[in-house]
Amino acid sequence: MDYILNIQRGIPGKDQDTKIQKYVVPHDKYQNVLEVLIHIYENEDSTLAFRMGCRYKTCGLCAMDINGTARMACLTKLSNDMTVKPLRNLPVIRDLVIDRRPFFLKLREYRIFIPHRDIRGLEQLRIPEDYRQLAKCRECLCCVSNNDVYEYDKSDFESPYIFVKIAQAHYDPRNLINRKEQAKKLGVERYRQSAKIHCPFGVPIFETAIAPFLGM
Amino acid sequence: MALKERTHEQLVYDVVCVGAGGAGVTVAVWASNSGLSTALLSKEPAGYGNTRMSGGSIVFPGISEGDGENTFYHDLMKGGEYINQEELVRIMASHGAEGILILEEFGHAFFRDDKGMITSDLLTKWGGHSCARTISSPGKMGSLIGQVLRGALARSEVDLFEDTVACRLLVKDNRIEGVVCLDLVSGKVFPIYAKAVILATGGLGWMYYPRTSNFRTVCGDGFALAFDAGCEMIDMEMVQFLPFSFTHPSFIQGIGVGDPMAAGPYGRLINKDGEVVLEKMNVLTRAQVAKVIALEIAKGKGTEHGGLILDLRGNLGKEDGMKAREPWVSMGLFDPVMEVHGIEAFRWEKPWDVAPTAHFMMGGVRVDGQGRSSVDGLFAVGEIRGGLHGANRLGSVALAEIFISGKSTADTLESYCKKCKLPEPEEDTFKKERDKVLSLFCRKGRIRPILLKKDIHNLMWETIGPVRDKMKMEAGLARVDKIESMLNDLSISPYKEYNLEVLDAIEAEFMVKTARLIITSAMIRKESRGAHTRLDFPDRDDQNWLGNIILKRDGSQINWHFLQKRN
Repeated sequence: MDYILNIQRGIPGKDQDTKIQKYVVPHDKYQNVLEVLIHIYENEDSTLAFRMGCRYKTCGLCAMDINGTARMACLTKLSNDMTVKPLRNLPVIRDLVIDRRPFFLKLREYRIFIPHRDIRGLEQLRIPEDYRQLAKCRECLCCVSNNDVYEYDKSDFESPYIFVKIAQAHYDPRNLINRKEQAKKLGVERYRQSAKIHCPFGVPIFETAIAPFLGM
Repeated sequence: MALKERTHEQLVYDVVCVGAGGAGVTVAVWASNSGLSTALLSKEPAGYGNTRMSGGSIVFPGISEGDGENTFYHDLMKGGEYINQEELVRIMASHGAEGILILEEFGHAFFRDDKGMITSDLLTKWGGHSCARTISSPGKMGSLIGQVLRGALARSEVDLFEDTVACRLLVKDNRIEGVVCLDLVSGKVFPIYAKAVILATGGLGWMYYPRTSNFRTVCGDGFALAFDAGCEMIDMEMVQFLPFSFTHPSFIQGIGVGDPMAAGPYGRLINKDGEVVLEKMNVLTRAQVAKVIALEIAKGKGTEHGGLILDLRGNLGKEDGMKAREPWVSMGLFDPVMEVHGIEAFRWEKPWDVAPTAHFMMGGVRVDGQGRSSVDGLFAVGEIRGGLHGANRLGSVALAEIFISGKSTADTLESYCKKCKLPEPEEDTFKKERDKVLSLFCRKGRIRPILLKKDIHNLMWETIGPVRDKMKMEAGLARVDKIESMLNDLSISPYKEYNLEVLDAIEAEFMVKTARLIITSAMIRKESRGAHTRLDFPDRDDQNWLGNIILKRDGSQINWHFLQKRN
């Protein structure tokens, strides 16, 4: 028996807007959703637009909405009649491709980086455990989608991704900016009730990037 | 400074860098730090590519007892089987530790001891290195490095062009003038003019897909761009195959499972008949181990999955055996083993299949120590430059190379850009190239570009993989010609926004050109050395081939000459 995979096609707000297109795929040959997208692209329909990079678990680029949840296509087991859409809550370029460029601009805007130093030799650095936890972030942006609070282009506060990045800086001994204050200004308070912001890579987002800024 | 709006009016910079992995970000950030106006192009979001998917391990030489400049120099030369470019090796041997410093200045932090320092206890010894010299990133693989690169870019004043493809270099009278770019998001084609163009496009592993550990975008673009621009290319036959990668299931085929050192002192390779093919791999180079596996498979002794069995059980219960396992586990490199072959395999209690996979390009653009190519104003940094590694690269040197070469080229750019004037480009040249790219949108031929790419993947593995011979390579060249002619018969949809068929068509053309360079160079080198294994010339031949093969374009022909080294 073959499987059906439903894929959202098109550009929201343009032309006739988006539609769901059905594809029939062999179910026994493949294990995960990314493989099937590659199969469709190679064998059937290369007008389909989607992002991928490393093929398995490292880069974070094949994040998409699968059956209503933001997931990595490479880590999602295939089953029959799944529906795949671009990550909810993010600007869509076409089909499954979201625009990631605004997120770089935010790093610049909020100065989420370590200040320039004139380094002559190795610096003495004590790395807290939370920093290691946060280092696992792949910037897949699933957390922007996987919460009930934030709405892209509507919210006057920031997405969980930004708080993860701010927390990384916060735990870095070389950071010079008051990140706690910054997180407050950018609305970390709004996530007080969001104890479960799912990360496909296991970053404990609430525990490491929300709660510490709320004094929890 | 905010990003410039993409109005596609004339964009003019001191420096434009193509590729935004570790090497590209380093050169762009440091050029910008020194006051040069700098643009950075990236096919993907910046900070992705092979740097992000690397193991996150980098050399920190000079810390372990007995390590020093000379030791490192000799390891690199021996590993590269003595055809490395000595100037590049000397720079790596004397400045190798600076790779870490450059990356930590960007905001990365490598593992530290209780006192907050990196000591020799934290280092591991990798295949071909004569002492412990490698430190790992605390992220999973290179994930933290990728994030840090984006942070460093955000800190800088570099103008970033993400989702942008460099389609062609503009060159006049052997002087660089700029880059023809395609914005994948809008489908617009525009030029960026500059005093200096830096190629930081990485290697070419994806040409061997799915038998590669590399990132999707790594299609060999830069080699084709450089060669067309008139650069000399060095040792293009030297493609590194990592000995251990998954053979199955299909979604993970080709993904790497480590350096020879990951086999520990008691690991063994076994063929389908149960015969032990290789032991004590942990002290061998990648080239040596990959060669043995590839030859055994070529003899028909491979498993049903097309590999050999990697049996690591001998390490269990032995102190040095288990110690060898630790760094790979903490890097996360064995996580996929658990997911694919189960917990017993992860614990080394159950053997699994491995096969070689295309991993790294030792050959590339011929440069001097500052990254200058033979075209005025055109530089190369990171993996796309050839010559540091000779015939084989040692593990964890590549990450150091990208940062060190990036920084040293950036230092050169400051004085270079002060001395030279902006080019006075001819609009007509750009328009001709622009129309060529625009004509890709909506083609009514018969072949979808992805099918040509798949043809190239297969021909690469079958004719110019880890074992080579004259007949196969001749057949390979004929297939390359045929695929090139099929590029005139493409079927492509008219979508302007993120049209992957257009990207495929551009990449397929790069791949065809780069494939021809690799095969041509491999046919010239009539010996086996390092990563280059020929069934018809199985031995190393220092009498005739201790040296480098240089390719250069002459019209539509490939000219070559040999640079003999003194023995």
